[in-house]
Amino acid sequence: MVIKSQHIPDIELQKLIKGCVARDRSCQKQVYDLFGPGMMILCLRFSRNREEAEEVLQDGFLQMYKYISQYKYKGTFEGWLRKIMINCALQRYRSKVHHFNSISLSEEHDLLTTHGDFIERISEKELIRLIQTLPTGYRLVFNLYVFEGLKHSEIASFLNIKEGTSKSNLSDARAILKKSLTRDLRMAK
Amino acid sequence: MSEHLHNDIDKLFLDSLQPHQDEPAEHVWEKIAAQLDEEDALKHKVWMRIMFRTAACIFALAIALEIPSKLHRNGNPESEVTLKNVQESVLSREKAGNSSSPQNRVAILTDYKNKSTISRNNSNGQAINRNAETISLGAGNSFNTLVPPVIQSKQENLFSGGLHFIGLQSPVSQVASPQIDMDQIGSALENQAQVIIKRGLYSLRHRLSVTPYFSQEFVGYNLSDDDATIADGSEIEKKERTVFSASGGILLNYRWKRRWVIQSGLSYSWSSSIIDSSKSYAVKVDNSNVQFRINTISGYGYLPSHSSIAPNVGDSVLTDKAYSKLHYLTIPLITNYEFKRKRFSLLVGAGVTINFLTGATLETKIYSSSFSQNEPVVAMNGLKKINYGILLKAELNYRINSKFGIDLIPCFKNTLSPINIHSALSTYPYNFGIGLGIRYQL
Repeated sequence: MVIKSQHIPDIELQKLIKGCVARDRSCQKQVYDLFGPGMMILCLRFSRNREEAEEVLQDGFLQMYKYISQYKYKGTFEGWLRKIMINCALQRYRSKVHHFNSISLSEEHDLLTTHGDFIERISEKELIRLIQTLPTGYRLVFNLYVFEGLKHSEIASFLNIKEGTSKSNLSDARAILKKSLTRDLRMAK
Repeated sequence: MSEHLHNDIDKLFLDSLQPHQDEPAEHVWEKIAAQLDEEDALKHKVWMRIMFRTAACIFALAIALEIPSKLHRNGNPESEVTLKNVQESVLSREKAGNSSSPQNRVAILTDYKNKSTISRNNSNGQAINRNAETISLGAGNSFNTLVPPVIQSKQENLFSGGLHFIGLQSPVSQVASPQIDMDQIGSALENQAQVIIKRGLYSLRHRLSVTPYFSQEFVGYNLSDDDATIADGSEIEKKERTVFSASGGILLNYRWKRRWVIQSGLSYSWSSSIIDSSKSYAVKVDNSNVQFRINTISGYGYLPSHSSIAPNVGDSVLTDKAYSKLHYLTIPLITNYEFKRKRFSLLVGAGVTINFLTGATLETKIYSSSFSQNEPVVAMNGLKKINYGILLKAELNYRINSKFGIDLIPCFKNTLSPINIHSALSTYPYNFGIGLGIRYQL
């Protein structure tokens, strides 16, 4: 799917933002239509399933409409909205008990590097599903590191965990994903 | 090799998912729109409430303003008679043709408690009313006077030199007021010089009164998420409610003009809030210390761990209801305007306050399987030592006798600067209080 939000001129976007500040419902809908799909994929990555992702998306947009007057046009609007979405996802995580313990993973023979064509054919929905199967702590660290580009020190302070825990969680997340991909590859063969 | 593989995994997911989007289901927007409608309706309701209250305040103020003007119109019957006499006197003189020339212009001097009002006809015969402390009387002005008995003896002086007072209106109760220096007027008129009427001055002691008071208050919070991307703000807000707030102190009242009163003093206020049972997470306090942190609207506190094992970052404990207590010393500076009617007076004022934090504590119970319940009282952090606010108040006073009066003091306070720092929220408390006080005239 083409990313629509990148094609809107800044002036148009500013008009929409001003409309949202004035709580104009049509502007709010247009902003939702523009950025909703992009944010949905982010929410899917941070959540365990589609229902949870939709709840995060809903909370995130409501937060955004509430605080949109605080957006000072520093940085992109999309970046600001992403932060709100991530924050909503983390808030959901914070409200539940989670543990950042390490789990043991059996060594798998790595088939991935030799099967690039399979990798290319694997759908994004399948990849999302794989991320969603990760334990919550791992999923958050993996998303923040890989997709949001945060450093371990930043993730540690964001999630209130130790830097070492963040590193270990990322490593374990990768191992789980690799294992799942390998299993899928074997089944495909 | 391992790092290379890791990068492959990262790259695989990043390249595959980053440019993609996923259309959310239709019902998501429907839910968002429904929620927005609900918020708008609530906002509308709040605005209506504010508008209604403002209208009620304006109405009450209008009535309050009407009282003194009525009082002024109806006034003291005796002074009315005096005024009538003066006017009749003026009219009779005008009919007699004595006041047709500028040299026969009319001046009526009115001395109320501590203010002088001068009514003086201009050359066209129209009355000019103004409040003044100084009047200049040109040469040849003609005056007659209705001078109170106590200063009747001075009348001769006034009439001498061809100058006459048309009227000096003084309410009988104020007749003995020495504020109008008749000697000075007389000699000034004789010399055709400037006449200065001094405003009736009270001694410092008569200008001062004190009001010890106690006020029960209802507290609310204006919360500002300075950064919407920081978590926890709305969660904290939902969990906390204020259960008790009160203040007590002493106000020093200084009357600097007849109807203007300045108030200052010292008050001590305290409030108590309940935070619902919740999980507190262990966070790094400093390099060597990890403690459970409990957040409130105002600030946060670190709960001591009674377990032999120090908590790790991210560990959580379940806390029972927590009680936060805040104590402030406040110095107000208020300007008031006074409306009077018989024994009642109403001081309507606005001012600023400076608030000094004197204490902030947090008390809760921790539930844990490994150790028994505790009730630690810990200091609250993240609060500013000083904050500023504004204050609007009305003070209805009933004068019992010349020394004592009872005050009913509704008051609204709002902080202008947040009371906290380094918190997920910037908190601006506001409160509405109803106080009871006793005014003592020094």
